[in-house]
Amino acid sequence: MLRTALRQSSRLLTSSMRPAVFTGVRVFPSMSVAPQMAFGGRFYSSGGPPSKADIEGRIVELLKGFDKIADPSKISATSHFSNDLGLDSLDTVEVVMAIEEEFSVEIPDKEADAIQSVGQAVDYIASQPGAV
Amino acid sequence: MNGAFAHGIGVDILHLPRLLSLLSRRPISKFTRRILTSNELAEFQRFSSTEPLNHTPALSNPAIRFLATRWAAKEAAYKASTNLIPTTKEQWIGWKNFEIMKGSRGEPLLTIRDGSGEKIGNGQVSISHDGEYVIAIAMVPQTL
Repeated sequence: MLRTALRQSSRLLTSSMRPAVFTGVRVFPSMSVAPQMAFGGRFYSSGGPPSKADIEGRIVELLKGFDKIADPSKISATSHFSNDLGLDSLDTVEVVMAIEEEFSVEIPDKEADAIQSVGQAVDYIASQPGAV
Repeated sequence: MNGAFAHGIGVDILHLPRLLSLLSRRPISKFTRRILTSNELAEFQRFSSTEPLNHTPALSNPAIRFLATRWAAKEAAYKASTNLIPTTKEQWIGWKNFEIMKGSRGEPLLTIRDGSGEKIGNGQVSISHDGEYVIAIAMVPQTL
């Protein structure tokens, strides 16, 4: 619960700071770095790396935030972003960006390009020792 | 190669407000780093420093238009490469395989690059915009 609350407050902070990207004089560097630094980045380090079930749950949760997905109840571990969820390539780029933020990882281009489903995203994150 | 066609074609249309809303939710630098080649990134940074995003309404901002046209052109080039990608799979990294820069007469030039940024071929691309929409069409050779 605390973890969820912290994550939500981090999201609020992140989103409330983001408009600065548009209102600030400079586009770079991105303001999104600030909240991570302010929180030290890690809230849930005590339990070790997240389990596959945990990763899957967090990715499904994150996808529920995408307005474009008409029926969020259809999101599951086997959902394909475009075939099942109706997301296009621009949405998919955003999903991968959101996954990077959620697990504090940077996904290289080649691997990012290969992530087209919830299952592929879960497998990739599970293979990353740095994911939190 | 499928049939007798030496080139594949692809088209893409982008509604600018969609890109703007994505960029309001996520860090622009994260998006540009994923999508743009190093040459394109340098061009984007030049645009965004001479015309900061808060000085010009977003839809007519050159930096946003630059990003939107790159997105549409890369997507069109990607669609034009369906037969090409399997043979170049080990060089495949995604959006950065396609670089769109302006030629001397302002025409867009499509360069196809491998995963390390080396040029492996050329394609052709044409871009048009009207109001909130950008459209791009691309032709890419099916063998490089």
